[in-house]
Amino acid sequence: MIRVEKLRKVYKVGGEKVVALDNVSVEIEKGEFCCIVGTSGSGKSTLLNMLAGLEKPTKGKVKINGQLVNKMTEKELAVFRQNNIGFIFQSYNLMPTMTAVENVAFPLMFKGVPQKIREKRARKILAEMGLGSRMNHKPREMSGGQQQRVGIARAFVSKPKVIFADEPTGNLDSATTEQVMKMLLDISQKNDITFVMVTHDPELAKMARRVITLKDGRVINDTRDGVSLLEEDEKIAESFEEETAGEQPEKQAEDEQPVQVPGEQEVSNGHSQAISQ
Amino acid sequence: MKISDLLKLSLDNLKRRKGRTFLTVLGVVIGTCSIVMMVSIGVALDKSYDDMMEGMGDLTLIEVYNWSSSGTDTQSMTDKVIEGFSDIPGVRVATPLYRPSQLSMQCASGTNDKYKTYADIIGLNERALADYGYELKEGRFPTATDKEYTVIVGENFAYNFTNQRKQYPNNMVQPIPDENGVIPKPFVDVLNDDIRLQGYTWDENGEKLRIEKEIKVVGVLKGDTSKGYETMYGMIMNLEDLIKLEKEYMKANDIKDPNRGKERSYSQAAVKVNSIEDVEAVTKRIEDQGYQTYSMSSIRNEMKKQTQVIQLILGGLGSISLLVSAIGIANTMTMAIYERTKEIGIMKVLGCELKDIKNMFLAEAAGIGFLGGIVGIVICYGLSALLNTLGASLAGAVTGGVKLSIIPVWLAAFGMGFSTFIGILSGYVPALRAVKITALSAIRHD
Ligand SMILES: Nc1ncnc2c1ncn2[C@@H]1O[C@H](COP(=O)(O)OP(=O)(O)O)[C@@H](O)[C@H]1O
Ligand SMILES: [Mg+2]
Repeated sequence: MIRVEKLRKVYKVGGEKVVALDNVSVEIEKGEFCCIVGTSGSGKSTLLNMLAGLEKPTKGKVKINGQLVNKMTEKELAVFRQNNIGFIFQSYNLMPTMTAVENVAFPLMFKGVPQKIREKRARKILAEMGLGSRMNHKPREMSGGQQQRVGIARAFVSKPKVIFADEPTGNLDSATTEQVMKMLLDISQKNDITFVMVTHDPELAKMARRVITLKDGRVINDTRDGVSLLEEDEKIAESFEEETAGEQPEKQAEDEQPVQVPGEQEVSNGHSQAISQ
Repeated sequence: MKISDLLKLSLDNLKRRKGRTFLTVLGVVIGTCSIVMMVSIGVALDKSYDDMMEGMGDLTLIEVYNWSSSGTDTQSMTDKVIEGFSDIPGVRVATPLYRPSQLSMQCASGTNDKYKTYADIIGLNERALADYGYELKEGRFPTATDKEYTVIVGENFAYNFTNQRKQYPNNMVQPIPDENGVIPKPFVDVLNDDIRLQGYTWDENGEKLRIEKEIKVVGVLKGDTSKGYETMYGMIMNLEDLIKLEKEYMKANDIKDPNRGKERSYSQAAVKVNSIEDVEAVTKRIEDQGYQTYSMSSIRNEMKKQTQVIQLILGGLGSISLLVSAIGIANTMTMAIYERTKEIGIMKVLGCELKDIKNMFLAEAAGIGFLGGIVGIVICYGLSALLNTLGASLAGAVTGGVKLSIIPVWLAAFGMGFSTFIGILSGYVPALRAVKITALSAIRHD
């Protein structure tokens, strides 16, 4: 479902290069519930953002459902997101002026679904999530847990193939966290949705069958039901063929970063590594 | 994304910042008002000129003169030349306008020529009479089957007659209502009484009657100074009859015909065109042949050009404040985009297409412009009415029904359209900026 080959991301901060992600190759299967864990700054968010096409990698490939996400234009990405991807944010990111129903129905609006139909679907899913009494409440009239459930409903409403979530329980207390986590596992399983979630909490990650552990931008562990997949990942890396034609050169990708000072010095992220340019 | 959803989204966004939206709309209202009011004053000016011109003359009439001295290339204006004018596209009729310079005739009526007047006769092609635009008050136009010296006269021609047996002021009747409001009857009933045209010669023995012609008046014209003096007090005769009469008169008075041996030519002709639009082209064709023309239309065109310049200046002045309000819209939109950077990022993550984001902001900007336009137009109608009543009471009888400000429908539509257009225009750069906001902003602005 999701295939990542030799993914690399370099940020440039004040003339220094930060390698946020290096040589990441994994494959996530359809319907799999996958947690990306690691300490803060290990590159979890960077990986997730690139999987979801929010950021372009410096090098490497991201394929979802056979489509090369990192090569898509903004326009193609928008349509791709409408039809394939749901996203759950750590800070919920609901539209402040809209009610719960309107928020959940929002992604369907972009697809051109008529108001009546999309709000009916939104109501149904909200009711299923136990928010029947909060349908017409604005975000600020709801608790964090309720808001995140609205956020989850919004991600599921268009029945996407993949849902990405960056620390979806990061702002919730432990009791709510467990509730929400169970809910996520449950719905994604029922709907056969591939779910990729970032968390810094290893305990939470244990609830998932698939766990990818990052450290300093590299995959240090990758297990499915406790069985290591590092060898398979190595094979994926080997299968990677660098496209010369049409490949975005590293230089250009790095130029997209805002600050630029000539004569920059390279700082690797924790361990020494050769950076080819 | 559906257009209805897009519009609703934009409207909701405008409602979020009511105070700021209000101020920006206010700017557009002021801009629209100033531009529309300025143009409305120009329109009123134009209209008052038009009204003035309408009263001054027939706009479809071109007078043609041949003032060129002999020796120039210009051909003298012969029957053939005038005939040629009729063939110019747009011309309804062309006729010589013959004012006999050598002829001095009197009209007489009643027993022993009791009533008399000098006759001011002009000659026109008989065929032209009806098409020329004269209107009849009574009777009919002469036709080809009428006998010689069948004429029509001006509305008050009958009041020219004076009673030869009485002294001033009792020798005349004027078409002025008396104390009972009754307009007195003239001495002569021109349509029914016998009328004679008389040519006299004078010598030491006094005047001597040399020529006498029975004439028949078949029609009385409606007086219209815009069509010429003759419609009031003159007599209009078939051109051929008049020329014949003049010849006879010259012979009787031993006057040498200054044009003897030459082809007959005229110093004045009249060309009547089908519509005002034809005047310019026809005028040009005639002037190209070397003749001079005079028409109310060409004067009107000159004035139109002037009022257009005035309108342009007024409109330009008004545009300045609309420009200022355009800056206001651009500013408001830019602020809105800064405030909503995160929301736009979220929308992108949720799959909103670039064009929808762009259109959403354009619709907001257009909404501000449109709203300002509508309110502005409503206020303008009020201001216009106020200006007109105020102006009327100040100027009083002098300007009469003249309006100071007129807002035709096209101006109202233009005002709204223009303010909306300005809105879209000033929202364009901010909208492009919104499009450039990355999906990542949804997360970064945490
Ligand atoms: N936009 C950015 N510009 C510069 N450096 C960044 C940017 N985003 C992330 N980084 C750096 O990349 C590394 C990985 O960050 P991130 O993926 O956010 O880690 P995590 O989500 O695991 O905490 C960190 O060292 C961080 O400072
Ligand atoms: Mg993170």
